[in-house]
Amino acid sequence: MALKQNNRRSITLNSGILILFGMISLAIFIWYQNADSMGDMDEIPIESYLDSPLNFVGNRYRLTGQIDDLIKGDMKVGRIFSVIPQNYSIRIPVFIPESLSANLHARQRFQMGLTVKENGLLWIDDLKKY
Amino acid sequence: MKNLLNNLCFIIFSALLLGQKPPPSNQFVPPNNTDVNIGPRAGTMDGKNILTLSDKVFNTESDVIDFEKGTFKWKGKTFSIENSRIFKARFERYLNSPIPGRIFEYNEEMEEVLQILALHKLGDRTNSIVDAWEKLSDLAEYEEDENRSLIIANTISDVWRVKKENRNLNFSKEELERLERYQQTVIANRKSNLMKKLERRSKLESSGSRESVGGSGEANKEIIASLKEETNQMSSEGQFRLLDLAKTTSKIAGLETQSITNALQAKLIFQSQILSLFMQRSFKHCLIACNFYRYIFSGSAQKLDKKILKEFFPDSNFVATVNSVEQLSLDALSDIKASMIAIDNAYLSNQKVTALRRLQETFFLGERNSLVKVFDLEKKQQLLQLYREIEATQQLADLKDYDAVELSLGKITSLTSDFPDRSVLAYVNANKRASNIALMSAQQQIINGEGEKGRIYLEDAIRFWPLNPAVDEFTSQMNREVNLTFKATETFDNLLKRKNYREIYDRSMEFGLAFSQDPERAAQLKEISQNLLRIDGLIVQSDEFLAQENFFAAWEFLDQATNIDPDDPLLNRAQSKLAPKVALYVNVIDQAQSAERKGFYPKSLVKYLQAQDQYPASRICRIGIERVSNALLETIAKSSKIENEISEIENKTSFKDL
Repeated sequence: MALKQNNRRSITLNSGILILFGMISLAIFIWYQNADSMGDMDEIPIESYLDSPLNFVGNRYRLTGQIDDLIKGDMKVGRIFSVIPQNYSIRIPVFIPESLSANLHARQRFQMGLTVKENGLLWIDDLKKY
Repeated sequence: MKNLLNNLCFIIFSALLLGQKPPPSNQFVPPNNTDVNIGPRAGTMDGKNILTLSDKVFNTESDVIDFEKGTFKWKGKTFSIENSRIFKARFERYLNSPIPGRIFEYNEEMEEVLQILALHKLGDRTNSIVDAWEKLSDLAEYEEDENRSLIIANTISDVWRVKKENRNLNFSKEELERLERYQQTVIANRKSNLMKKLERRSKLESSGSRESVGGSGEANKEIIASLKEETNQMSSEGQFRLLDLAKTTSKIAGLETQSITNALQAKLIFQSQILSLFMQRSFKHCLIACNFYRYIFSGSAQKLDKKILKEFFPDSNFVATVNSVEQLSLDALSDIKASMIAIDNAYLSNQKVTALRRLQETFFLGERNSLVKVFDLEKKQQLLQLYREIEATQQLADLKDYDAVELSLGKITSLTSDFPDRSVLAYVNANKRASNIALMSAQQQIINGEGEKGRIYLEDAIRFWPLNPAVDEFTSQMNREVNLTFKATETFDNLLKRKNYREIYDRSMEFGLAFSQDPERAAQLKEISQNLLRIDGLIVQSDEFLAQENFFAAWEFLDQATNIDPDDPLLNRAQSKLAPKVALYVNVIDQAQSAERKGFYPKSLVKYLQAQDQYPASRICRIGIERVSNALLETIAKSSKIENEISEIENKTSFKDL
């Protein structure tokens, strides 16, 4: 009888632990899923970039802003958009490679992970609506 | 006429042969009193409505003056007005002549003659015709008559003389006819006696043959021989008597012929005189002559001779009678009277051109009419002044002296209210404008180095308005410039070497003339001129936007001009003037263009967008963005391709290592 009671307690404890572990795992998963992948990136310094784009070649930044207009596009290569950075009224050009397969429209807001390529080109690696 | 003479010859010949008189149907009847009756009555128009006839036969819609042919048409009849120059001189002389002093007196006397003839018409035929004839001599004394009345009087005298001659011929003819009758009686008696003697001789000859057997035959033979001799003598005498009779008959026929010829000639002379007066437009004299003719010649002689009519009316088949000519004269006088009233009315209502035109036409028809002659001298002088002004204007227009034409038009419009000066001015202005446009085209063609085309346009300009002062100035300038061709060539080459296009453009007229035969330099000049024209146009547009304070747009036009010739001094001056207003914008554009030139397309794109933010309508930015983004995509495509190739090579190398 006592053995049965011990077995029942042990099963209940294990189940509780298992459920707790599962909940913790789920919470971690959810947190991971919702975590900002560009959170550790710096926001691109707009004024400095506009003054000297070449000074930032090789750096990675985050750009938060609104799609203004399509400047030019090539189906095999990608598209060049003008983007209005958040809290700015100016436009800067960015290149979104075709491999990113993003659906972009004017006036959409994005957080964009980018790399400053040679000649100062802002090459978008990652896109996230916000 | 010819037929009539042939008939007369035939009648005379027949009479000579047959010893008979001409048939009574063609017999010439000597006139009684003043009447001479000739020919059959067929074809006369007496009693017909002459007015209807004349309107029917003549075309009344062609009353017009033809100065080229020197003719005036009235009721389809063309009157010769000699050549226009002489007639114009006569018209001018008329306009400048005072009213003849005795014209009213003369007119009264002429009316008196017509009145006498009208009374004669009513039946007082005894003395009135002579009275009227005597009055003609009085009329001839007036200068205005120009001796026409005297000519009529003489013609009438001739007819009366012919009539007198014919009366004498008639007396002679009656004597001959009495002789003829006597000769015929004698011949008849001789013939009767001869026949009797022949009959007796015949009887004796037949009885003699029977009595010769009885012994009385010798006596009969003697009688028979005697009768034979007598009959032979009588036969010979009869032949002579017949010959005398034939001669008498022949003389009678000759007198008849002479009488007819005289009368016919008188009639033809009179008819010619009537038609001549009509053609000279002396209608009152024509009326007088017609009246005299009607009473001198009987009703059966009223038809005018066809040959005479043909001389006066060569183009008409009109079968005229004296009455029809008289009616036409009356119509003409009526027309003249109505026209003079219309002229006076037009003058008083200040429609002097109309008055002048009507007076000119009326003068051609009624030059010798008293109503035309008594037209007021002051009015005539006013019309003469207008006439001379219009003629002078016409001559100036023919010479294409349009400035002078405009001055003359001013004078004419001050004289009258009905001159069509607007249409003349429109014509003048159209030609002036055409000349100026052609001259501008000539200048432009020469500037463009198209010397031949310029010459053609210059000819057009001269053709439209030979006295165009701008043409004189232009040709003078051309002459000066052509003389300096050599110098111009040297100057042009120096300026071209120094790239001083603006001065070349400023002196393009000079160079254009100089290089009309130098296609290479002409082409260079043309290109420079066109470039500078474009630059000037862009500067003008820029100035317009500058005035509207749209500095960026103004700058854009200057920027376009910079692409044509960045060293043009006018352009540089305009840019300097505008630069402070657009310094930031220009700076950004410069950075964009500089980066583009260096191949830094992203930076260039950034700067273009930055500049476009300042001036969204910027043409420079729109084109720059288009151009740079294309270049950027090409660069990325190339880079991607290279990267892919590198990664493929690396993959292959790794695979081999494995």
